Amino acid sequence: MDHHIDHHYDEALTSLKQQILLMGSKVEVMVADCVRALKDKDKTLAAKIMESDRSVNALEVAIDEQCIELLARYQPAAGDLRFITRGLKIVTDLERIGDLAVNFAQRVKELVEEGAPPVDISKMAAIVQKMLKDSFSAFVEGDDKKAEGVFKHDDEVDEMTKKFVTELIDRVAKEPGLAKTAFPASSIIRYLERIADHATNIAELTIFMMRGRDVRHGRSQ
Amino acid sequence: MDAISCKNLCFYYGDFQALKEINLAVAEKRITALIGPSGCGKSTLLRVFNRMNDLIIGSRATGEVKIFGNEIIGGGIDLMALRRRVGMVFQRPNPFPLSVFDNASYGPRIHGTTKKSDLEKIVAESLNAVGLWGELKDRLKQNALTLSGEEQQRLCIARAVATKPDILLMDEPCSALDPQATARIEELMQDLKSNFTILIVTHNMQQAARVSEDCGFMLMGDLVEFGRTNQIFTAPSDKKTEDYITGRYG
Repeated sequence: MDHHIDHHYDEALTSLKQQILLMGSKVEVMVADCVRALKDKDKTLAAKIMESDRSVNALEVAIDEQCIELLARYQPAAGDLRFITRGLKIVTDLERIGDLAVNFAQRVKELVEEGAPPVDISKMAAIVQKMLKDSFSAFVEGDDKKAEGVFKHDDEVDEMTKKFVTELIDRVAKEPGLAKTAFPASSIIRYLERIADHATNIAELTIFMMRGRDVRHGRSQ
Repeated sequence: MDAISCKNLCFYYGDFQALKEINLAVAEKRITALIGPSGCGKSTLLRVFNRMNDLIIGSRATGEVKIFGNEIIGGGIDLMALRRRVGMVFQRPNPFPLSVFDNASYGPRIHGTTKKSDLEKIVAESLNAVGLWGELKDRLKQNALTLSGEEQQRLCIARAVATKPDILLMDEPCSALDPQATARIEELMQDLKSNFTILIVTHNMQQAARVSEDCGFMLMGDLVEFGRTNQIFTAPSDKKTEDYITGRYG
């Protein structure tokens, strides 16, 4: 990007980008740790994830303040305006992903007590992690093509959610003793699905940021 | 019909080409802003539309410029009639050293209105249109130079609208005013646009974003981009426009 005439403005924009980058990487690590804690039945790691949420929440507040200050002081336009206003929205998605990771970690703690989940969600988790990684790196790199690549996985995750939830209901109906592990597993599947939705939001916001065209609610049209 | 249309308009000050192949259509009864750095040609373009540049020796225009379909470039144009249709407001308030009444009635008088009751009606209407009637109706004999800067600029707008022009050209009309007076002039522009087509040149990009519906960005005599103001300020299509409105340099 070319330099701004006022270097303070350039520095403020760079700092905002770095803060969003930091928040995004923290959230990515939280989700990856959830998947690892589930696989390794690691209660300590689950507890650490719940701790991490505080710093994610603090970053959300700090980034909001930075965006408002930039809007008030510099009245940005065009690409800068799109970056800052999309940044404001993206941190909301990131904060919610952080909350979902906390819920995920709580269910992991329950599963460590009760036993392994009755279905293997590792493939679904891998897809969701890739969606999150791709959408966020698309935002940071300003890569609208990469953002578009995220959309195709959203339907795939929705299908997997439906399939797993139906399977869990059927199995609990046949074997009521599985309920103690099926319920937390079902919640985790829902959390992953919602994380995928947030990743899709980030991809849509990235496309608006780069092209100045809003693709929300109309991708299939 | 477009209020103003230009085709391949070029303008020269002697050997220097100030405007290069400008193609533009200004819609009727809307506010259109021209933005760009100093020396880009925006004031020159504005002054083409009422032939104010004719006052500069050695200047010449080529191409086609129409005001409501009538060509205004070339010889045989009635400049008095043109300037009655295309009024102008300048950067600094420039009332004549005359009374408020004589300022507001100046245009109609030189265009032949002499009956006192007609002039009184025009003065009341034009001062009312710019929100000055309430303040000045009992001070019509006061010298206009004793008014505040904002009142003087409003009076100049009243003087311009008194001849009932179709188009109002405004060249940095708020640059000598404080932010509150600027906000009130901008509000006045919004009120006036139901009756007039307004073309404003401004260095203040936030002002262009606030008041205009269409906006053109000029650079070194070129009209780089022209479109809806929303589009120009959120997603311009030309990188040069993006760089200018985000304050960047290459």
